[in-house]
Amino acid sequence: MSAAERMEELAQQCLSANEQLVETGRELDRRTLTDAQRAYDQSCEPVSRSRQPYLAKLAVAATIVLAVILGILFFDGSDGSAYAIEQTMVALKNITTIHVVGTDWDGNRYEAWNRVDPATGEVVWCCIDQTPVGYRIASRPDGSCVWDGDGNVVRYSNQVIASNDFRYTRVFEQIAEKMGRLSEDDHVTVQTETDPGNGRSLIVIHVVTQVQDYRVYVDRESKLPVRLLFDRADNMQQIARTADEIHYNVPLPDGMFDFEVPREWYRDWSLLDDPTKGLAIGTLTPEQGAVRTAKAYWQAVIDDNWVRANRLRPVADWKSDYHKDRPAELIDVGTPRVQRGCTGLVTPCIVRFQDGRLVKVELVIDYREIAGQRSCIIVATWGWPTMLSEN
Amino acid sequence: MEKGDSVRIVTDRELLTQLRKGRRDALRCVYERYKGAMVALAMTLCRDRPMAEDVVHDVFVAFAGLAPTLCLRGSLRSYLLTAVANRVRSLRRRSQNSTDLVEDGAGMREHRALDPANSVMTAELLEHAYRAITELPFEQRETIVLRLQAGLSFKQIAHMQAVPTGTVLSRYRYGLAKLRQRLDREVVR
Repeated sequence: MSAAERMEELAQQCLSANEQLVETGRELDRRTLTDAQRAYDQSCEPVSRSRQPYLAKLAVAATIVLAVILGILFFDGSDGSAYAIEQTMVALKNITTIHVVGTDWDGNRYEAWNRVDPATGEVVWCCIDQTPVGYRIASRPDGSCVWDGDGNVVRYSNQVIASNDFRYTRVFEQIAEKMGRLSEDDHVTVQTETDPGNGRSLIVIHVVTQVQDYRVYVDRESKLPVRLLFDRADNMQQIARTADEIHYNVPLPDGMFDFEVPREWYRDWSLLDDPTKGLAIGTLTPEQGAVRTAKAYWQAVIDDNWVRANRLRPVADWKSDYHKDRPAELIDVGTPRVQRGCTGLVTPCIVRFQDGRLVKVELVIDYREIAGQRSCIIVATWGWPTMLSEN
Repeated sequence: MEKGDSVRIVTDRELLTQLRKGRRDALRCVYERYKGAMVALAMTLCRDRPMAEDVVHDVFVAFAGLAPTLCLRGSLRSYLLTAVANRVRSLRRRSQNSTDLVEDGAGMREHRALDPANSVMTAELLEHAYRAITELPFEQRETIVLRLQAGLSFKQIAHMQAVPTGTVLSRYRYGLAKLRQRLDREVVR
């Protein structure tokens, strides 16, 4: 390949990656769609009036042709035979609460509740209950509370816990993004099924890639996902394996996101405000500090130095995450960025595991100033880790 | 579970057919499908987020007005991206200043960081490359993104820019050469 061809390929990859990751604001979406629909309606009206008889005949003819070819009509409510993932993304924009019941990879049951901020569409209230295995989180805009069953410790923080595993608007968004980037080797089947429990018609999207195998069950009428099932996932930190029941716009019990802690549990108010945790960054900028903290964390994990790793990332005991899947080498730490809906800097890290897999993990790293000391601390991961290459 | 009939993913052609039938939900589908590509292209060309969003808004509203009667030979994606590029050119022509609309922006900084999935390149290299593209002179930048992002042929670009095809090829070649020089400098630095 010549130098010019290599440069052409680089430019193309760069523009393509940029396009996949660009975000549009909710305000732009609202303004554009409102004005576009108005323009569309105005454009349709005169045509409808002047050519109504002709169009009516045409529509009947078209319906017959489509019905013959496809068997069922397109976009016709519950009988729609064609489906666009965008319909699900649109439907998800109108939800206010989500309640999910599912299991993790060890078969333990969990329950998650989300409340969406109507202004931004982000899930900012989140509660996860896995009490039998010692894990409970309540997170809201002004802070969060994590119960760690190992030491029976409840840790408080004035930060939002940014982990996405149970934030279902984000989970579905990621699935849609991934479906938009499937390669020719990936296999997608879309079928309909009838739910024997309630008789409702479902669209089942089954995606099989080299590293993933999952099914998304979408309600044919509402276009909302109602079930999620992973047979294989492309990362080692995805806690949820199934979402067996998903309910939308359900009233949430009062006090769902309040931090009520049984008396016998030990309270620790210093989770992310503890000056002995994190990494002192001296005169570095928060961005430079985030990069240094990420490097120190991965080095500690690679060296099996869990005391240091937990000091840099004290929210929970992460040792079990890497018990079987051992990181072997930190390949790259990218530029930290500000991310909407996230309190800290999202810092992309590319890590090679012992079995050769190359994985991207994005760490959320907060900057703090406590008693004049500047430091950084790892709060959570942002989204699911992404497999970049297999072993 | 009872197995039912198979379901297809909606194609662009079907969306356009639905738009001609007056189905408003298809309009939303088109927007959701291509808004990212349109904003990314507009950002690369005008290097200013608010202006890029205005361009996408204007282009999509214009598209919506034409949608009930629109018949396309090429792809919907190329049509919308070409419309975005045309709108930027039009704004640029209106501007008294012959330089770019905004000179100080660096689009990628306002975006999420690059994801190197499916690529052996690091996010850092791609980010350098993106910055280098945004720093190219407008004609070269436009030629490169229309060719590599919108997928237009050199002949189509020549028609759009109202210049001979040879000029477009030169702009493309010089643009890539400049990119290489800039990236080499970054690596040396």
